[in-house]
Amino acid sequence: MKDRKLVEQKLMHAGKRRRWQQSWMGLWKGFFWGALLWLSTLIVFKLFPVPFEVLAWSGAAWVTMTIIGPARSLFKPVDLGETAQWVDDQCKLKERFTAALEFQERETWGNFILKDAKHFIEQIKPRNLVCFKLPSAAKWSVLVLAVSVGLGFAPEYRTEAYTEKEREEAIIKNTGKQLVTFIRQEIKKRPPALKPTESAMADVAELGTQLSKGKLKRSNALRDLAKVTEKLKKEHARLDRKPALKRMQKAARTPAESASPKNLNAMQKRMDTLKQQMGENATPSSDLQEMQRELDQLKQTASGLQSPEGGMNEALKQSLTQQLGEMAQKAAQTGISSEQLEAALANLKSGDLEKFLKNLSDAQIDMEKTAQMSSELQNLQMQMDQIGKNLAEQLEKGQSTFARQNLIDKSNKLTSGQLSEEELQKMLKELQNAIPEAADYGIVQDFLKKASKQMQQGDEEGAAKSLQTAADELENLMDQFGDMQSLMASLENLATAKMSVGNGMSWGQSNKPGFKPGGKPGKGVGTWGEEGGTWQKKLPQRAADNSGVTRPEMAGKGPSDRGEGKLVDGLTSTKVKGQFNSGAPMPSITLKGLSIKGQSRVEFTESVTAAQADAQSALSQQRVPRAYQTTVRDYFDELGP
Amino acid sequence: MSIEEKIGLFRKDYNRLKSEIGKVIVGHEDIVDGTLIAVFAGGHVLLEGVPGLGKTLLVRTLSQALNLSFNRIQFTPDLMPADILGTNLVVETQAGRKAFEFQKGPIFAHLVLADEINRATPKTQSAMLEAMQEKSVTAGGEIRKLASPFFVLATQNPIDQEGTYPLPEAQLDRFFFKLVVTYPSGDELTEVINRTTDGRNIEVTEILDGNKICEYQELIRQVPVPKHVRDYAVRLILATHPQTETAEDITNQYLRFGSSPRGAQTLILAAKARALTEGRFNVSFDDIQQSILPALRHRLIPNFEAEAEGITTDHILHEIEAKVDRQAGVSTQS
Repeated sequence: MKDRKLVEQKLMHAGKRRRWQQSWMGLWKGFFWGALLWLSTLIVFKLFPVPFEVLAWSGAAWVTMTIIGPARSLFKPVDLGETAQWVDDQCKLKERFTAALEFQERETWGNFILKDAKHFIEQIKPRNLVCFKLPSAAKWSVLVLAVSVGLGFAPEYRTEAYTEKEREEAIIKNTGKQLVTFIRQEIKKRPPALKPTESAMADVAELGTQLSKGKLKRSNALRDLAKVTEKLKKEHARLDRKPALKRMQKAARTPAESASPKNLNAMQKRMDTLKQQMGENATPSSDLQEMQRELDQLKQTASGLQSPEGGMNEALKQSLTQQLGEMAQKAAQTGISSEQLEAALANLKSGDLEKFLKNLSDAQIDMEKTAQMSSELQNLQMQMDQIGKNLAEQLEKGQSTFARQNLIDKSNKLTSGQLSEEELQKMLKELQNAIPEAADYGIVQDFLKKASKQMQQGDEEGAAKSLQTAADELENLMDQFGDMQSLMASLENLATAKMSVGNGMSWGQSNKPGFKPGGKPGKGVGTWGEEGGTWQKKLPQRAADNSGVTRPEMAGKGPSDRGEGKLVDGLTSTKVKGQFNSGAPMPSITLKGLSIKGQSRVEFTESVTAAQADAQSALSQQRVPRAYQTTVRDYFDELGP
Repeated sequence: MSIEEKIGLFRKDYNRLKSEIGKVIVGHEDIVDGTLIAVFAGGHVLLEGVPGLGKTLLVRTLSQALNLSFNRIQFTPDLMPADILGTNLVVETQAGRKAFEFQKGPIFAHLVLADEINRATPKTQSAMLEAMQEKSVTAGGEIRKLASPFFVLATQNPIDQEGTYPLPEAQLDRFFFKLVVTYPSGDELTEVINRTTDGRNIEVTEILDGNKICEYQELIRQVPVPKHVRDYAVRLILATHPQTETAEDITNQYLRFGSSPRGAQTLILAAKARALTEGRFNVSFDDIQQSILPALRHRLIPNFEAEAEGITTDHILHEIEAKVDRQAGVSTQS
């Protein structure tokens, strides 16, 4: 038994080492066959329009085969018989070991065979039997890889129709993703208040999902987009009919609406700070601008002070001294800091040109800062002026946020019961004045009437409740307005989606200005347009009206339904509205206006007014193609400070 | 003497025998090996070759080295069976009476050389059948045992076929080996000339006797054959049977009949003998493969297509050997 056990042990050991060699061979075989499969798939991919996923799967199969190849051998149990045959062949021992496994020591000849096998196996080192040379599969793999690499440079054959179809699918998918992203963001920002709005937004999201999965073809996608757009338009039109919402829409276009009761205090504080810094008698910004111009001129003139012989040009010096003196006086009179001007005057008189010029630069900076503060103050003042002072004004202007806060404040005051008779009367009067203005606000008016009656009857608690209810109803209307804005934004995105899918253009290209109704300002009319595509609810920093002219109406005219109008004979459009040349971008419209690049030195409102006038003129003279008139009109209507 | 000692002695005697024969026979190592293997396996040998290659000399030398009685029978077309086996003759007894006495024929020897066996008639050839298979002769109604050990070494001339009688398949099948003697190489021829034309007389020493040979024959039969090697031999034989599941394509194409079970017995016995001559205690695949041609070439019967295309049984056997898998029979051991 000992001899047999020894032989078996040694064979087992050799078998285990042989597994490594088999794994090595298996690795290369797996690699080779995987490479061959990859090469075949690559050839098919190059010749036929198969999707890229097939190549990816083929690559995954290659990796799998490379792993399975060695794994199969590595985890296979050692077969003693096979191992014995292998050792016999390797060592040319003529089946000594295979025979040794078959016979028992108790048999006469079995004993001889086992002794003989033992004699030979003791001389064998399994390590020397295993050889890790590169098999032929490795060499063939190199060839296959080389061919694959070469093929990689060969362009795949695809028909134009197929390439176009792929592109179309990609555009549809991307459009779907954009729609889904937009709806998610919109719902997060403004959760729908009304069920129909929620349903409409859900439809848009569902459509977006369908598009992003690539399940719809172009014609079906356009059909579905039109369907959903129709639904949203109906809902938007329904909301648009409400007079209260119309007022809120108008208010939304004014900068005043960007303020809220919460940041009113902040605005007031800022105004107070600015007034403090500028002094009680703050110089109008127009005066400041004039002084800035004079200072600029002075500085330009001062650059010629140095005479060619050295020293200063005395005549010029005299002139500058006089001008500077007058300016310093004027600054002192108007409350502007004249320290730098006086220092410049002193340096000019003393002949220190370098310090003089430095003082002039510092004076310019000071004046610029003052001008900025003045401009900011003016803007803030303008905004504050725009905010309704009482409930009637707030309701009339559609400033529902302020109106609601006003109602809540009144309700709290009534509830506190700490109002004097005078105050109560004042409140009652305000309420009564606000009742006619609340006519467009539905039952808000009813509750205001009820509150007014209750106050007259001395029922302050009841009146407070009525006012609170009116505030709640106003909030409800604000939510509906939010829905309307969401629907509007969704319609814009749907239009972009339609453009993208219909014309086979990417989302980004379709989303450029001028491509949708109510689009944002374009490059042709200055660079003040915001890129976000929505009104930015933040305080404008520099825009200010320094013309000193009080315009009767600063707010934009808003969208107005002027109808299609009557076309002059000969100007009838040959193209159907809404249909564009396939694949061609919409032609841009060049408007006369102030085309300004870089840092603007012209007031915003001036440019807007000029642009609006030009646009109106172009529209009335039928110089704008019929298909674009509504877009142009809406765009310029929405322009404003 | 233990078996191990016997095995060692056998190997030693075999090598001595071989070298003793080598003193007289130049080259032809495979022929000498084949003949000795057949002798120790207890079989008869058919030597085929053109005249003058030393076939008869080999047999004669063998008989001298083995210290066996030797008779040579020259087969001619007029040779009768009684000329081989013996006949009853009328003799006068001491008492003066006439009686029949059996006179033994030349077959009654240990080693019988049947020279040009294909020149005798089938009737005469068949007289050898019983003797070769049964190792006995029936004559005059009486069975007479032949000497033990008994070998027939026949020779055949592949050319000069006119007026000859090809051996029937039944008789061919009784030969253990058919060995084809070829021309010597240049060096061998030179040596032959040197040895045979310089007048020297080479004495052959007796190495073994009949008893020893019988002992060794028994020893050889005891050598174990691993199962997978035995299976390999079986698969080889089955591969020669045309129109069967196991037949190779070449078998179906060129063979009319394949090997009988005697072919399998021959393969195994010859392999056993070879294993012992190499000092191994087990039979290997190589032993089987080395015995394929001499053991089976005369047992396959080619068809007309093979004869027309000149395809020999040797070629068919080479193809079959290449196609039959050795490893299929390796068993899983735990």
